[in-house]
Amino acid sequence: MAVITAPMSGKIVEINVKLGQMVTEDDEAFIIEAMKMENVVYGEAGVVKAILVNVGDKVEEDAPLAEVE
Amino acid sequence: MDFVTLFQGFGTFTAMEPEVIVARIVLIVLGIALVWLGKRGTLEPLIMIPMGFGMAAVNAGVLFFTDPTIVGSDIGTLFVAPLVTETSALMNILQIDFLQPIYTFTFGNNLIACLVFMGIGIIADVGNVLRFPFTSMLIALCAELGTIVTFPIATAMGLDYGEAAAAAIVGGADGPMVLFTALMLAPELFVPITIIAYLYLSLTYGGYPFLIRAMVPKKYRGIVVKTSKKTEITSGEKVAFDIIGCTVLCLLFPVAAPLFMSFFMANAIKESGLKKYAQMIEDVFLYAATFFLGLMLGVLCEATTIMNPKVLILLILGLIALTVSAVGGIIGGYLVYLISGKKFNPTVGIAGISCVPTTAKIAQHEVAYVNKRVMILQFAMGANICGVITSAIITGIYVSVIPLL
Repeated sequence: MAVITAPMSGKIVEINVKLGQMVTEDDEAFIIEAMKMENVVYGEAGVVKAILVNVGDKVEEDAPLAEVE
Repeated sequence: MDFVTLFQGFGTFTAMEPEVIVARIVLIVLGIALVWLGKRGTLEPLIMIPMGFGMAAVNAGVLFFTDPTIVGSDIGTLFVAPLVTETSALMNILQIDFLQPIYTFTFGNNLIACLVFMGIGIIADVGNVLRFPFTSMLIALCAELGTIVTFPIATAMGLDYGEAAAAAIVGGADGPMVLFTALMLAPELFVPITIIAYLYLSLTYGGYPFLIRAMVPKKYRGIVVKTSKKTEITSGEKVAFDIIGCTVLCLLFPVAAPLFMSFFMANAIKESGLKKYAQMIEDVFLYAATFFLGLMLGVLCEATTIMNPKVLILLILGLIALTVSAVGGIIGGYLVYLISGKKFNPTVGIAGISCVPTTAKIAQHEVAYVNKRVMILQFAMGANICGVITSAIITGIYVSVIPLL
């Protein structure tokens, strides 16, 4: 099981994956906003088992965002 | 009643020297060009649209004054009269020219530069500086290369010490800093220097990527940087850094104290969770200051104010300053790469140029282009913020030392 983590701290502005969706490493899974910049969080290969955050949440670096299997 | 008397914008052409007429036309065209480029996004629209309008309008709207004794000249505009300094004439102008109060009460005393600095402080995250102090400082110092090297070049090209220092500070890539230095050390040239600085800073977004690609080969651009420990910087630590850093820097360089206080206080407001103050600074001060800055710079580009043979020299010097600083920053990036045992991405060096957050964005962009999983934004932001501080220090040094020479 793999975890998609936040590469840096910021605010979740977009969640582009759903439970049960098949994702690859090239998919733009989340968008985090930090310092007025939007940064893409890429996915891990697998099926989304859990989404751990909501749009608008503030997360820290390495915070888990979703679980993928 | 003929055409030139009725439509005075044209009429004033007949009463001015040919160079001024040509300059007015060139500036009108330039103003229109800036608005177009701003709309397209090639240049930063927040500054360029007001500036372009100001530039075009002020050079087109020149009229004859019926009572020269009140306004001090027989031809002028109703926008601003920047060269009037005598107190009673100034009091008259303040009641006639609609932008004069903005100019007299926010430019001369640097209020506008301080407001912009508050805006930078309110969105900055000094946590990145505290997490990576050495890399940030080293890169920021190397990125000041342009501000140092340009000074002797400028004096060799004929500028006096004050003008040379103001031109060199353009390499610090900080609009408010350039405004501040120019007003203190080279007030006659402050309009052209500031406009050139802001113009070039807008253009860095387009130009720096090429410099990065030239200086940092792909295999270095894609290096992944791991943060060794998850050092969480609390907001309390950031506020401590803000107040102590502010006080120490003010003690060292009182001449730049207004800028230091503006930046650090705004940052402390952010880290203390004072949401209403933060909103006020971010939504009102920053945008108001940016708007009036762009507008005033455009309106000050009235042909008679800025026609100065030194403008060409300044254009060249500004380019030199920003390019050398960028090269210095990337060299700083390479230094960190070597010191850390080849575990750092040299591209971060460009973020030492303190155009917050543009250069950090550029660094992240160029790195992600080669390897999209690499995240160096936090290092870039650390260097960015440190760059602001080092630029302020160099400004403080110049403004303190030059008058003594």
